[in-house]
Amino acid sequence: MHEKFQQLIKRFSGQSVWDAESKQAVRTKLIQHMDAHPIKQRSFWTRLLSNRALAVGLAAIVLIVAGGGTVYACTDAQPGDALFGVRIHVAEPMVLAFTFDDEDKADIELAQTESRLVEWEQLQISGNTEAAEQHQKLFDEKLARLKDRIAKLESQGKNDKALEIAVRAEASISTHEHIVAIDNDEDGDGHAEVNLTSETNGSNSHVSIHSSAEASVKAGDTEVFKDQAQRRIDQASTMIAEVRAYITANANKLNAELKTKAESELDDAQKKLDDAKKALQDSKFSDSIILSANASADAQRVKILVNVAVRTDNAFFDDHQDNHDIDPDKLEEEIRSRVQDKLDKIFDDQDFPGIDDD
Amino acid sequence: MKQDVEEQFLRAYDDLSEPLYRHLYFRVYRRERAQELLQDVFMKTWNYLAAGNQVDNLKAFLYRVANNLAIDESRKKKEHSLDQLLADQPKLEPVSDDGKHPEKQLLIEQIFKVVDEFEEPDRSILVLRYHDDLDPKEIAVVLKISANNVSVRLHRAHERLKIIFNKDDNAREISTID
Repeated sequence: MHEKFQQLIKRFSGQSVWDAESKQAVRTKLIQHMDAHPIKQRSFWTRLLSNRALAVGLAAIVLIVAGGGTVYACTDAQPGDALFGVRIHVAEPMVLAFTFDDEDKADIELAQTESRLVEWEQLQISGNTEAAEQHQKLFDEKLARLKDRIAKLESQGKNDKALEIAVRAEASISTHEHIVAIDNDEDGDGHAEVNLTSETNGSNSHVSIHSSAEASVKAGDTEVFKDQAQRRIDQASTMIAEVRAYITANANKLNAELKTKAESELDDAQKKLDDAKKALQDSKFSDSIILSANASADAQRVKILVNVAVRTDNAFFDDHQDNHDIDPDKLEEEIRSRVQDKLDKIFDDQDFPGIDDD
Repeated sequence: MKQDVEEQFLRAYDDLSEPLYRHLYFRVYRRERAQELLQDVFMKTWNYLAAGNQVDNLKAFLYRVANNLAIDESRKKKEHSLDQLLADQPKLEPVSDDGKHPEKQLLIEQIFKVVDEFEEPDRSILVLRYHDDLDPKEIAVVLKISANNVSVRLHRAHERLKIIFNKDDNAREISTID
């Protein structure tokens, strides 16, 4: 029956002839319009990103790096991990770059600052003094940016948000000082040799973010520590669950030995987490936080190993049976090479007229 | 590069302006308005290109712009009656001695009746398929939906057309008996 419909339409269409004069008149107007609106020259990157196919390709690369399988090795990569550099120089700035609301940016910058703080804390606890000192610089940079963000919120009249961010940041720093103080208080005199330099970074903010060691233990901190302990437990719990799910989802890609080893290490992390929960119930907040931090670190190590094995079909792992022998440089090179392969493929598959014309 | 884009664009105008005009005329039933919309189609497309954007399939892009403008137009003019639309068409043919155009009017009424049975995007799919002779893959690009979706919708539209035309045939038979 659509033939009947087609016939009707064709009869109609046959009568709607456009005369050549009108066609030429519109063409003339069009040329005038084109002259009045010439093609703009755009930067290489703008044009690159305006190409939908390429933008999707680049987004895919970002996802490869910041999401998908490698998410386990990147977005939560820790100092010393091969992908830690990718995390702080690519993934985190990209998240900020694609966030346009100042309040949302503040939340993200706070989360990133807290991450640097926790990482620094773990390095200090592990006794890696040199790495801790290096990491302190990253924290200081983040904190300086956060202070600027708080000042910007205040200048916009968003005082409530500015205060909220400042209070949360201060609570995190205070908790960190307390933990590190306990860890460093080997002689039991109650005084830790901790030097936090965040105050020296300067800030335009009217909201003070205290970071002196003296601020760490004082009345009223109990609720803060309790809250922080619960947050660390939640974080560790989430990480362990994610890694377990990742192992399950990729079980067919892992060799039996690695799978068993990963699950065993994850069980150990779970035990530490259970101890952390118990410590919280017993109001031993500092113990709870340290146990959670250790559980997170264990789970983190497992996920990196599993991820590497999955992405390299175990080949890379087979060469490094002992997980502590993994060479970060080699791992980084491996991942970089794979990302480059994917980029090459995208560029090979696409035709980008004009990109090389400038 | 600039020159290439300009040449390609003007070539597209030379090749596609007539079928696009017919498409728009079919959608708005008024010559002058169809021509204005056609001009809009090409100017908007040029603005998009001039802003440095890239269009992989210029034909599909032009049909997409035309289709969107036609849909906007029909929304704006929804309140206009068929009589009003017909009154706006001074150049319709064939014209009878009394200055009216009954054949054309009947034809438009028939088409209106059928097309009005369909909502978007099925309406656009039918027009692009049977008026503009675009294949499902091209229609998919124009409407930004999958070719499979276009085929499924076309199949359903065919079923519906059967019912509509059968109903018409039956009505005609009944009126003949009367």
